[in-house]
Amino acid sequence: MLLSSLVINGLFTGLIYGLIAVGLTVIFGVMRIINMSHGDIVMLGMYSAWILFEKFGVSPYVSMFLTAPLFFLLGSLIYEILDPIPLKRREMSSLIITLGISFVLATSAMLIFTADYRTVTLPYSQRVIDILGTRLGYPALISSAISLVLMCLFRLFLSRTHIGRAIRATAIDRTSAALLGVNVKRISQATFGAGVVLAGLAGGVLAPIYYVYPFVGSNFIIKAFAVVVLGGMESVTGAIAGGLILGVAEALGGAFLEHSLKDIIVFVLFLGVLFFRPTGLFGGRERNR
Amino acid sequence: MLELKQVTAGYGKIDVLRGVSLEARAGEITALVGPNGAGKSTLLRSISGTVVSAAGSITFKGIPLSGRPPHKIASMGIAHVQEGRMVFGSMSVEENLLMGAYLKDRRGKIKESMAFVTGLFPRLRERMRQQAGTLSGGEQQMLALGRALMMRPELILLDEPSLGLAPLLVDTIYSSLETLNREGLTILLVEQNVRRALTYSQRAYVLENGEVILQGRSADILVDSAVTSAYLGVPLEGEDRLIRQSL
Repeated sequence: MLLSSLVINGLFTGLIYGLIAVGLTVIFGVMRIINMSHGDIVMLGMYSAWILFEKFGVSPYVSMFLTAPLFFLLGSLIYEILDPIPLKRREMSSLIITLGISFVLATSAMLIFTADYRTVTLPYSQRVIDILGTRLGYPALISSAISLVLMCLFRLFLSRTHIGRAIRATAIDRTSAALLGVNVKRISQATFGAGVVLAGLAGGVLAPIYYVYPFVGSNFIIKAFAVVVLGGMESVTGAIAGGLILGVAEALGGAFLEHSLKDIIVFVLFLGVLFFRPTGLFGGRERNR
Repeated sequence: MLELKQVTAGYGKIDVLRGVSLEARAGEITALVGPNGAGKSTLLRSISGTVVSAAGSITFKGIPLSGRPPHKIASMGIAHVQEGRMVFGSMSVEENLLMGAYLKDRRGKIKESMAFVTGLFPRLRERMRQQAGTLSGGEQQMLALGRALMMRPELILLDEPSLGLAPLLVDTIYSSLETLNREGLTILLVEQNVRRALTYSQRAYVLENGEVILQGRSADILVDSAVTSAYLGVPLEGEDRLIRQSL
């Protein structure tokens, strides 16, 4: 393949990686919770898109928005488990608890749906479009575009609404936020809900372009962490940039390395950034707290 | 307006406040002075709910505050400007001010509140789009105060507003406090700069080792400088500043 088509392919995939990572970032930023079950929630998003497509013929691009409230509910419930943990012990305890939730979700999916690989084949799945000499499938294009739009909307939500600003303020300094009248617990719960909704939506955009199977989440969690490390824990913009970098790096690596070595790119990037720039490529400084 | 009776509070098993009784009267500036570690900040925190008091009662306009979370206390009309200003550094000045008007019933008055705050601190109007973390110490103090005013509080708890500021800026901050007080705002002021605090307040409490050791009209306490230096070992204002600079 041409270099330019590798880059273009990588950029489109990267937008979806960005969407997966945004939810992880916002949850960590506000609550110091490392949500290991994030990838499995993406998996749930994929399965719910698949079911609604198989049973009712609803396009994943529509059903993902219909199921979003359920994901919000799921997120709020998971947060109820995590809320009592004191902030000082959050990072480690939440890691273990959400890892447990991850296993429960993945094995439940295994019980219910079996280990079969499922696909969502849309009427236009085979159609391609030509972008600067690169042939791109319709679903890939739509999924990437939706991811970009969702991230931009989320960014606007964080900067332009009272609740969005309260989420950011809580991430920076929860005591000061509380003193201004912010109900920190409710904001945290809503943030967790929103992060889970974003993961569910990511599952929706992935369903038409990726295999659906119970342990698919583990692929995404690693990539999401790499994106977060690349972009820094701070912002939506960082997640977009991190996703794009990872997407391109992966596409290039896939072309030049043996297929079985492809995933090494993610880990090399991951460790490299942690080693040389622990705050992320764009994360300037430690947060003030 | 605000009344504390025999309040005991602290962190873990250590009591920082030991049976403190205090009153902040409506429309007055009440000063709370005392050496480092006397429990001044802890007292403000136990009022705003960020520290839970172990015993005693705190009432605001007759309503008990104990057991209420900070955001509920904030919604009752009490603003707390913490020591070290604590603005949201990676947010813009405007966003910081908007956060002050976060509570639902304050949102309708954002325009008026903004006009009031920028009238009081014109410097903030020039810096609206700038990141709060890039402001100077004095500007951050103005922002912290302005953000609290966006809450349209009846009572404001101020923790060390002059800390680390150049004398000229301290004057600016204090003259704005005078203006606010004249317009009816009740202020409970914690200040290490004893002379400054006693000059601007109507009544004062001297706190030492978590207990009130002296209280009365500020003017009386100020005149009785023998008393203040005996209890506090307070250096003159000039020396005070020198010591602080050398720290």
